[in-house]
Parts: sequence; C-alpha cells; structure tokens
Amino acid sequence: MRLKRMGASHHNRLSFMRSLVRRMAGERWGFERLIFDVDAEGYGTSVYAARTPTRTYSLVAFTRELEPGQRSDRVIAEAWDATFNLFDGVPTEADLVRLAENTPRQESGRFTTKELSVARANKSLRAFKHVVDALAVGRQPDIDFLSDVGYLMRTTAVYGSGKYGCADNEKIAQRPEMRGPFQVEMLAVYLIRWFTIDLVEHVARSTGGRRAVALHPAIKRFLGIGNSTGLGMAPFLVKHPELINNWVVARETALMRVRNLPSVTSQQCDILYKLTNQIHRYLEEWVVEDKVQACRITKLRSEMVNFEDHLLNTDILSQEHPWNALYLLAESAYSLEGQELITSLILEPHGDLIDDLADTMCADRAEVFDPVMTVAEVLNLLENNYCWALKRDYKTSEEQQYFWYYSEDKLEPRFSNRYCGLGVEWEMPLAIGRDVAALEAELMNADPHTSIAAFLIRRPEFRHIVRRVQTTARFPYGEIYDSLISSDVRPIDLLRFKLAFFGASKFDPKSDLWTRITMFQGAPMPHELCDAEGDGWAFPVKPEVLA
Amino acid sequence: MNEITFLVTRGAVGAGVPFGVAEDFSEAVKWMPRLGIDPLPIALSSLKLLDERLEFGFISLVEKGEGLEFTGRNGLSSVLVGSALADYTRLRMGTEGFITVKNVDNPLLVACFLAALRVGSRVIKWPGVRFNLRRDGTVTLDAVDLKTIVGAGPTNVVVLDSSLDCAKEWIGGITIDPVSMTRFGAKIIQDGVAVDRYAWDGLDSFFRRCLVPSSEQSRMSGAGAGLVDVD
Repeated sequence: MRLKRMGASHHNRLSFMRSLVRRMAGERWGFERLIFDVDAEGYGTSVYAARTPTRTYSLVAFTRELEPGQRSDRVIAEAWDATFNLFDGVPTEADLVRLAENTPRQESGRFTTKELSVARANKSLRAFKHVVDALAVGRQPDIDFLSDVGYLMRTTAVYGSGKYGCADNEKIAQRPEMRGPFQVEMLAVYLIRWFTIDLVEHVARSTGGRRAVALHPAIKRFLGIGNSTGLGMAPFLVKHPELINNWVVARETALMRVRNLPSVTSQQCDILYKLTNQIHRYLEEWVVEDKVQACRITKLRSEMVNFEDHLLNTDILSQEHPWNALYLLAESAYSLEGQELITSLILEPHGDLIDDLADTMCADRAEVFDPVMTVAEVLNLLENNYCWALKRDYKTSEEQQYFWYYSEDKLEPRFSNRYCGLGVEWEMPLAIGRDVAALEAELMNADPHTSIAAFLIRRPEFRHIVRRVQTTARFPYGEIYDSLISSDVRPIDLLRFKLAFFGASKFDPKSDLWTRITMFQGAPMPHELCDAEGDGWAFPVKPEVLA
Repeated sequence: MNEITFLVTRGAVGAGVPFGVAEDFSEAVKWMPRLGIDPLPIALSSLKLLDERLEFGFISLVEKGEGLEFTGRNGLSSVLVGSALADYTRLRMGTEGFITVKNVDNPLLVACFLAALRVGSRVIKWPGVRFNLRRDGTVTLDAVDLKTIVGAGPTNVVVLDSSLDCAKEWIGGITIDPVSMTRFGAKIIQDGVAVDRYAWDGLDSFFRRCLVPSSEQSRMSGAGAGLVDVD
C-alpha cells in the first residue's frame, strides 16, 4: 500500500455502509420511531429503534440550541446541536434520564456497557434552514442547492468500542450483524440520517402549520449525513495491521475473482453501462474548492468519457476475460483516481461473486510476538519487506519533518513540524520506516544466531517495531509502504483510505489534515429497505424533483 | 477494557517504559480481571515503583544449572521483566528447566504477563501461591489467602514446566478455577470492569506526562477543521 494510491480510494460494494444496508434489507430489519419528544424548534429527546431478527438497537438523540460561537467541527468543541448513543436494546426511562445527563457532555460524560457508541453532530445551518423554509411554505427545497451540501447535519465524532465506558467490541463481536468492521458506528450514522430528516420535517411543520409539506422521498434518499474527519483516524491504520490487511485482501480477492471471469453477461453489461453513464453526473456533482482534488476530479471526468467510449465503441467486452481488459485499460492509461474508480465500478455487477468477502474483513487481534526468531531471521524480514524504509536517509530533516503526538486537548492526535514545536520526546510510534531502519542498524551489530528475545533484553525500545515486522510478515497488506513523518506526507491520504472502506463519498478536502465527506447518500430510507434491492445506491446523483 | 488498555499503555510510556513493553504490560493488566481482581491499583503501584527507582531498568539474565535467573541491581520491576520472562519461557518450551525471577515487585503481575502473552502450559509459583497456567489459556490458582496473591512482593517467582512434580504441590487455602474465571470473563463483557477511582487517576497522571500542551498555533495548524464552522 502506498499513500498516493490510498489517497485516491473510492467506496465499493464491500464498503461497510454497503454491507450494512444489504444486511438490513436482506434480513428485513424493522424500524420504529419510539419517542419524538421535540419542541417546535427541534430541541428535545428522541429514540429510534432498529429491529434485527433477534434483537433491537436504539438510537438515542438529544438536540439543543447551540450558540453560533460554539459551532465547531473540531474534537475540542464542547457543545453540539445533537448528541447520540447507539443503545443495546430499548432504553428504559431510567436509562434516558441517565443518558440525558451524560450524552450531551460527550467525552466528559460516562457511559455503561448498554451503550455501544457515542456520537455528535452539528447542522449545516444553511442547508437545514433552506429545507425548513421551503417545506414550511409547501415547496420542495432547491435540489441544486442541496446537492452542493449533500446533508442536513454532519457528525464530528462517532466513538465506539469501549470509549468513555461504552461496551467493548467483545460484547457484540459474535453477533452476526456486528461481526463486520465498524457496523455499530455505521448503524448509528444510518439512524442519525433518518433522525435528521424527521427533525427538519418536524421543524418545517411547526413553522408552516398546514401549509407545510413533507420532503420528497427522492430528496430524502439523496440526503446523506455529513462528517468532518481529522487526524484522529490516522493512527488507527497503523495500529491495526491485521485488520487493514483483511480489508485490502478482501478487495483484492474480489478484484481477482472479477478479472478472472472469462466473459460478461448481458445483465452485467446493463449494470455497467448504467453506472458508467451515471458516474458522469456523479462526477459533475462532485465539486470541491481544494485545488488538488478539483484537478483530480477534472481528470477523472475525462477518463470516464474515455472509458465509456471504450465500452461503447470497441470490442473490449467481447474479448476473453473482458473484466481484466477493462482493469488493464485503467491501469495503463488512467490516473490513480481513475484506476481506483474503475476498480469500484467493475466490482459493482458481481454481488453474487464477491459479497461473501464482506464477512472476511474483521480481525481477531492475532498479533503474536515470536521470541524464538533469530536476529538473522528478523534481518531477513527487514530486507524482504522493508526495502522502501531502508533506502531512505533519516538523517535529513526532510525525512523527519513531522511527528505525531497526543495533544492535551481531549487527547486529540496531532501532526506537527518536528523542528518548530515542543513535545518531540512524546512522539507517537508511527514512524515505522525510521524505526525499522534504526532496528536494522542495531541488528547488524548483533550476533545473527542469537534469539531476538536476547537482543530485546538489552534493547527493549525496539520491541514494538520487532513485533510489527513479525506481524506484517503475516499480514503484508497491513503495512503502508511510505513514511508518515517525511516532508511530503499528506495525512489526508490515510483518512481517505479508511473513509472509502467505510463507504464515504464526495470527499471534500479542507486541507492536508482534514476532510468533509458524505455518508449514506443515496441509500434507501428505513421504510424503503424491503422494497429496494438494498444495493443499487452506488454513485448517487441528484434526483429531478420540481420545487 | 479498551479504555484500560489505552490508559495503561500510555501511562506506562509516561513512566518511561518503552512502547512495545508498555503494550505487553497493558495486556497483562487487562488479563487480571479474569481472576476477579481489580488490576489498576497493582498497575499503578508497579509504575510508581518504577518511576521512583531508576535501577529497575537494569535486567540481568544468567544461566544457573538447569535454570535461568533474572536479577536486577536492586530488585526487578514486574513491568519491565514481564515481557522478557514471557519470551524466555517460550524459548525454553519443552525443557524441564526452570526460570527464577529474583526479588520482583509484583509476582501476580508477572504471572499475568505469562498468561496474557500465551506462553503455554507452565506453573508460576511464589510464596503461598501456585498459578497453574494451561495450554488452552485457563488457569487454576491456589493460594494461602488473597493477600499472598495480590500483595506479595517483592519476592522471588519461579516458572516451572507443569509436568514437574514440584509444580503439582497443592497449596490449598483459596482457589480460583477456570469455572470462576469464565464467570468473571462473562461479567466483564456484560458489565465492564469496576476499577478503583484513585488508581485510575494515578494512571491518568502518568498518561498526562506524554500529552503535549496546546497552543493557539498548534490548534490552528496541527489538526483539522476551523475553530468555528458556521455554514
């Protein structure tokens, strides 16, 4: 894995939002609004339930008025328009009283193992107001305006597994519906999206009375939930090599299966033509201010025209192994963004062939340190797997320009210039390449036949990197083959990779350090899940709805 | 438990423990509640001792007859010696030799390192306690009383192959068996671990040593989003 390719990732049908929606539709989950105790301005308490065949999960939502000066997407914010929990079961009145005291405080609150996640969101004021104003006077909102934003609220953190007293992942890991990665968080976000749409309709009704109308179903479906993501996500990718390996292996296996197909069916052709056609509009509607991303999107648009031209005007689909031919076309002629988009696209028509791989994307923390390995064997692993790291010269300032640390502010991970800031002594262990090079230098001076255990008694500061080298030998896709501290690193590449696996779309970078995204845009609403195929919502485009 | 892992790993780093050893330490601490014991007071007292005694950083390993002996200049820190002991226990798998850890501050923590790092079938003994670790990861612990389990250090710990006769001597008193461990384990998953608030705060103060203070500049340049996002 290289950072540049990670930074060009797109969602695909194995992404976690997609697999959740498929499961919800396939198992015919039930959805119910249990409590909506909200005043005319939209402030109050709500509970939404998702009923699987065997159990119930509830979203508990608290909304309040927020002063404009408090409205920040940063982790360091202290108040939000809406705060949430995903609750395991249906909360009692006592639970709601307890959560009302804690959930709005987020990190300062305390939760129990009944809660599976803690989250918060802020309104996009202009989008929310626009929709309220339109619905209140009996009109549908301007879809072009809404398309620019894509959501009514955006989450600024969704915490899971064990945070602030919530249940550890172990509590739910054996439940089939929660076995996949981040399914708790994805379910919470899906329910939050439903809640935001109910909320905007409620405020519009309170404002407009009888004149008010409901939001058009196509617009509801088009509205996703936004998210602002910063550096907090980056260390996760380094800390969980087995998990990341399994995500990438699943995608690569899916791609291999598709590329190995000898021919294309007419049904697959139809899906491919339809999606290719739709992607032109999807890319036209993907508009960002960030210059780098804007250039990439422009190039992507022309590549997709070229791709469609190949589909329609060449015999590429009649060749042997046509899917492989499409992949090779992208690989030989398109940008990284183009290659990644084509990969997502050619996976789409093959649910029967690849959807089972979604069940292989979890991990059971199998990291085991092997003390018996000799120094020579560890050196061998370094030479075989870490050439990219060993050829860099870490004595230059460019190679160590940055360092990662935890800030005092809510333990927020940060990224700073090593030569301008304080706190370098508390650097987080994310400089894998540099640490590998330092390990190699020490091991070269050690007896090659001695065990790594004997080496580590004298040099325990290398224990974490030896463990990593051993682990990634078993999980090769778990390693990022680039430095995370050099002058050319863009942390946003890490974020995009993870967010694409989540299923996010419309990446809207705001700097090299954070991005806004849209989640579940185009996904069926809860009451549509049984009717819709549950799966046909990739690359959504704005609906044609008259105001 | 994930919160405990995070706090204990970073707390240990704050006390000067190398990151890779701190990771093992947090695994050992996380394993301990399966015995029905709150691990945080023990974790805190071990880190405090380590913080006060720099000489704890020196670990010496010597061959003694059929055995190995870990010693330090003025005793050993269970936090630092646990990982190395687990390594050597696995290195000597299948031999009938024994490993002695001399004058270690907390023997229970040492035993939890071996259990958490899955060293296989071994018996760990210290005065008044026998900790019988099986290959499947279950443990039977028999001891004179609770105090000998949790408050025994500094003392010597011996790690033996389970097949040796001296490893089979029953101590009596109180017993924690796999059945009660399963019960404790299920309760942890359902309800979490009740921990001592004072110990939590103590570990948190170690953790806070490795947090970097914020400045206006770092807030603006070091992370995402604007300070006010009205759109």
